[in-house]
Amino acid sequence: MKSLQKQGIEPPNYHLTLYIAGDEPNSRLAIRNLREICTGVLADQCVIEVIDVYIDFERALKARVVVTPMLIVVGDNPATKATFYGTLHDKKILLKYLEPESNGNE
Amino acid sequence: MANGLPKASSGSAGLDLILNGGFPRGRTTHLHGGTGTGKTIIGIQFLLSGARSGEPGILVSFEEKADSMRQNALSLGWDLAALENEGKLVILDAMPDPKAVMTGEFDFNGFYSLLEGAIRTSKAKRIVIDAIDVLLQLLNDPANERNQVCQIHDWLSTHAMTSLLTAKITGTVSEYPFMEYLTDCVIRLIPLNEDRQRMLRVIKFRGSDFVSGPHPYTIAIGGMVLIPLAEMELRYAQVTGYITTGLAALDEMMGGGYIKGSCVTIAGASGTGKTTFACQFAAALCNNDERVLYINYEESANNIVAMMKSSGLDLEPAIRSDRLKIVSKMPEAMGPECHLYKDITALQEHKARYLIVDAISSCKRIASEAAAFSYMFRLIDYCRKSGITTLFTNQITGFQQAHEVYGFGFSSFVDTMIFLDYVPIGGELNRTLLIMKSRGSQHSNQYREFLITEQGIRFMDVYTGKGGMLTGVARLEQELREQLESRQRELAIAAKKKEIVILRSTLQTEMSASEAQIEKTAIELKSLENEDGISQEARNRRELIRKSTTGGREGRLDEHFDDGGRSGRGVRS
Repeated sequence: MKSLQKQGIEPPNYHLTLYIAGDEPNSRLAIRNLREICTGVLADQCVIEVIDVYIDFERALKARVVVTPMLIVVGDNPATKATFYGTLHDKKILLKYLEPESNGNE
Repeated sequence: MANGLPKASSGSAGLDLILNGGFPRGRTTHLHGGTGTGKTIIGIQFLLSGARSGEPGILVSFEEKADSMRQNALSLGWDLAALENEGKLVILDAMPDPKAVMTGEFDFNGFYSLLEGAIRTSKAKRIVIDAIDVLLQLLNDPANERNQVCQIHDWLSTHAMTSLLTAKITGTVSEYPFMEYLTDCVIRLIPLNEDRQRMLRVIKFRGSDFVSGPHPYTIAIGGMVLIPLAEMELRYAQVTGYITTGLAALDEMMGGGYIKGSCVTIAGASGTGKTTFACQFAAALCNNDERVLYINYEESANNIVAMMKSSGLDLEPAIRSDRLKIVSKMPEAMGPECHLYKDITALQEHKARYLIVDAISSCKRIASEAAAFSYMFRLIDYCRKSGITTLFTNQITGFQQAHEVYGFGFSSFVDTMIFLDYVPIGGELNRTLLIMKSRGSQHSNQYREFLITEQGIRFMDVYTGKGGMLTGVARLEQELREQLESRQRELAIAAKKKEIVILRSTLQTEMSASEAQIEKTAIELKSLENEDGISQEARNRRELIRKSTTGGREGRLDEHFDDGGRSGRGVRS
């Protein structure tokens, strides 16, 4: 990240939308894992939104949510989109995606 | 019992018939088959039928984008977008992201929430999930897959949805065999075979009767078409009476004409005049205000009209008055079910009471003889049921082999068989006609010679002389020869009659002589018999005398015989 800032390149910003289906173990686990991943430097770069598909049907329909928990990561620089299914059990996978240079070691 | 289970129409009359009314209402049906079997089409058809009868539906598409689905449906004549706008159909485009990364546990609660929302807003009663295997593939764990199918099934049942779950299979083996016992009705679709037929088979239907199949079906404008064998009970329309063949002489030979509602086949080698006979019939029918569908597998309509003109038959008035409809098509253009469907549709649209197919031998080119048989069999059956009279031409090669003449094995459906042939005699090629079979009517069993002239078909008088069937110049020569022979024969007969009288008187004389001889021989026999009697008597007396002189020996002989009998029995036991 530091090297990027030195070069004057804006670090990417991410919009993370986590879709969950009600208050159940998988939902809670996913929320906790996501919060743990988006700490430190990433906390400034990431906007997290949690949507309960039972409550916000319109949003769920728009995102065609079939599997829950489901995380959609939208990056604005460059424009990217990635989908993750599950409780984000293996945090390294998401970290590696958000911080390609860190190799998920943070 | 069978009638107790409520059903929801599948949107296909044929499929409803074999399912005894349709899919089980409020229950789950599993539809599986290889690629290109029309699973999605059957699904959409089912939803459309619901939408039209006040039951909105949801189409969950896991495999295809909603837009491409709308587009494909348009090609079948279905405007899905219009139904969506009217609130009768909801398409849930739910394709999973193929690049999605899986990490940790997940379930399909999101899916249920989607469905619940869709049902709430649309008041849907029907749902199609196309294809469930796409969803199950995300799990990649057999135990979990089974669990999820169980859950989906329960969820759908709880919501009283009439559901159709489709899945792909390769070959005949389902990747998810538990689907078959978790669902209430299982239907298998079998891809195009070498006979160019797709087949549908009902594997199970809990609590209902069904016709298992296999049933050939096709996909046409308007969806899946299945013309089931179940419909083929022997409840044929009763049609009686004769209809003119278009040729007075042939009418006479047939005992009045073709029988209404029957199946007539005219077989013969190329150029024997089959098409001419068929067209004569068509023209005569149209003249009598009848409606005729003429399906031609060999010529264009224009060609037939031109050909017939050269043999003195003008078909144009019949075509202009819309009584005669000529449909020309290539056998190779489509599979047997598709041909059948098109023909039945054409018969209905034209309100035809008469069908001519020229020539059924070409139908083998649809795919195979089996395919041709399947097509013809069902076409004849449809016509029988509807009381439609059919006339088929059948081109055969080589000399008449009965089975070939009759077409590919459906001779039992053919009521009347007319056989046209060439007879080469004295450097001439002459045409002959033979009525080989005509069920339910008296008919001539003679070969008849006919000519195709510029004024049409002309039959020659019956020739019944010796030396078999003769035609043309050879026939004239033979007739002259016979006139001479006939005079000679009369003389010969008179001579023979005289000879018989002489022979008879000779016989009388000889008989008297013979009778005397017989009497003499009988007397001789009597004396011989007497002699034989005397010698027998003498022998008996001699034996009696011997027995009385050696009395004791007789008892010992008896004893010995008894012993032998006993020991014999001992050995046996």
